[in-house]
Amino acid sequence: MIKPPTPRALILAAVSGFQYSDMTGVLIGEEHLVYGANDRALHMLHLNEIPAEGVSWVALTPPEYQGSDDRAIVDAIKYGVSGWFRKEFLVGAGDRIAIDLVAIATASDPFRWIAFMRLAGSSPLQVQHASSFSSSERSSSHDDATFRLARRLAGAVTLRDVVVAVDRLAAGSLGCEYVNFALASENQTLRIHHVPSANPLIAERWDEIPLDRSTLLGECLLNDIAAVLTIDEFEERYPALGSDGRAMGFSHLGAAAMHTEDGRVVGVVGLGWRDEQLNADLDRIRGVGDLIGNATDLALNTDLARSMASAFQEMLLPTKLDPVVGGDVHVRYQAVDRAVGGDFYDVVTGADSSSWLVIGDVVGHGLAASRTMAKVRFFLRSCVRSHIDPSEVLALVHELLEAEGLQELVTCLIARWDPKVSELTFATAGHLPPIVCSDISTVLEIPVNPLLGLPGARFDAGNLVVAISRPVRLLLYTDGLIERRHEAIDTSIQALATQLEHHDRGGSRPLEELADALIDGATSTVDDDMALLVVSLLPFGGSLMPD
Amino acid sequence: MPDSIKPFQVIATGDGWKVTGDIDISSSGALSEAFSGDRRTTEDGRVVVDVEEVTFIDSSGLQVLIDLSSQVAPGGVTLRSAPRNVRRLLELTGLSTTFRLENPAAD
Repeated sequence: MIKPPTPRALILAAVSGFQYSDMTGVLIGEEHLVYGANDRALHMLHLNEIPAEGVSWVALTPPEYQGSDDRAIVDAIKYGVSGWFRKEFLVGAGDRIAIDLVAIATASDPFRWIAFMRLAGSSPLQVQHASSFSSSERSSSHDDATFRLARRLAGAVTLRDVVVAVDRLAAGSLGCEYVNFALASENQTLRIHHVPSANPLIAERWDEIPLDRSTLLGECLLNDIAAVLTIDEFEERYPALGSDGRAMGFSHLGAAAMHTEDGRVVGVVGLGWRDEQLNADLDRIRGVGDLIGNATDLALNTDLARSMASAFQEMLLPTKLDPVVGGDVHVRYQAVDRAVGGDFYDVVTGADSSSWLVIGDVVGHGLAASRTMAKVRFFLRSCVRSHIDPSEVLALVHELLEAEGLQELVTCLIARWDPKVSELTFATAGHLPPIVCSDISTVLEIPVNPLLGLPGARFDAGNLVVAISRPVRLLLYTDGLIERRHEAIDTSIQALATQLEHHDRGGSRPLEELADALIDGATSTVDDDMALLVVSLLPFGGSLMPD
Repeated sequence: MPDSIKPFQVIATGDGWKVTGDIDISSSGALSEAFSGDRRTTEDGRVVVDVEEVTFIDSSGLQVLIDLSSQVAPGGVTLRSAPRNVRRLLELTGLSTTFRLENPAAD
């Protein structure tokens, strides 16, 4: 039977836990990315500055540990979790640094894993500060740091992942029978996240509790401590909670405040043991609390950033396109997994009633990409009021982006349709070539300018002018529609051209159906946003033309 | 791991780096980090990135290469043994003149 912790011991433990955390980081990766992960781990441990020939983790990993990561990842994929394991890195003359790791398959994608790691025991190196994706990103003074973090992690961790991970950790690391964690909600309550294995009756009864000191969870969170109590002590101290704990057969109940890496308290983890011989280790409990705190923080940031960014993008894409004289236009945009991409399109009427059909893609994702996309569209809309040369417009937009000091690179393709002379004028800034179809498809070769925003770029490639003498369908698209790894790009583009030809049925297909067929038939093997703009154009005299 | 998966890897060489595998959103961060470390160059100050065994580059990968080229003198980044698909990507994105190509892979 353990000795109940005294209040003084609890306070001391809390203070030391607050000031010294052995958490060194969380890593998220895919099945085959073990190697990069090791390098990242070395970086977290500040070992990548060790002078060595072509510093690589392989050189720093003793032979007996070389296969341990692969085994852990295989276990994580097979069983969901690897269990804690230890590995060592060689540092300097015979010194070794040991870290403990656990790899967990994420709930959303079984081939994506999260590894939590921390320094084991005493280390010959002084680790200056814990470092990971989140802290290194957060410490950046750049105002978009949070969103760059989210961009990197988008799709990686969700609260559901955390819940599953907590469930798996509980038995493995702490020998508990029961675990949950609670996050403070706005109305002074604690919202409890139960793990899938929780007793459903208990889960239903205790889904929300007041955020005050009348419960063990509330007390540990508000006092920023970890504690373990025997069931007798628990009932004496928190009479309002009744005897659910005893009814479930618990001998001990515990809780620990969950910290983020920068020391904020984000919630509290609750634990239950049925083992009379329990030897509770408060450091270990605190460690698990911080681990969950860290993961929760990532998940919440990701969720928040995602919902903000997608709302933002919805606001930024045009809801109404200008009509095209002598033509008809249909657009489709399909985002991947609600994460926000940088694809954009627009249809704008120029001063001379020409139509400017635009498609583009900001390299990168997230709020920064959305902001740049909005700027590009705004600049384009302004420029076409006073210019008629698409390549000049690209050059102007590039200058304006440079003047704003925006970092993102943007591909952009403009097709200017002049109905008076039935001509299409194309200019591109590193965007995929357009396809025209009039019974048969042709991929147009347009002189290529560099990407918008490329430092020192010159936009002197000029335009391609195409006279339209019969009804055509014109397709502008983004790389999500064709991107296929390990296939020649031109083969992928040609495949799309063939699809267009096939689905267009000699120009008889309604544009909306045509766009749907192209999206549905997309054979992309890369999760990326897709945007397409399909236009049907009739040459002068081919339709009712205003003059 | 099956042999068919060629893992992403970046190794420092005598005049720059050799990169292997797919450069995409999941590896471009690591590449960027490697590029920001100590850099070796040729005698005339160029940085050579050997991309012969690069199997795929997405836009985030391009961004990292462009970032590298903006850190050195104009035309100071050479791509060695670029496979056809890498060269084609550079053409399509108007970046053919941003990088110097050396010994393009004959395929």
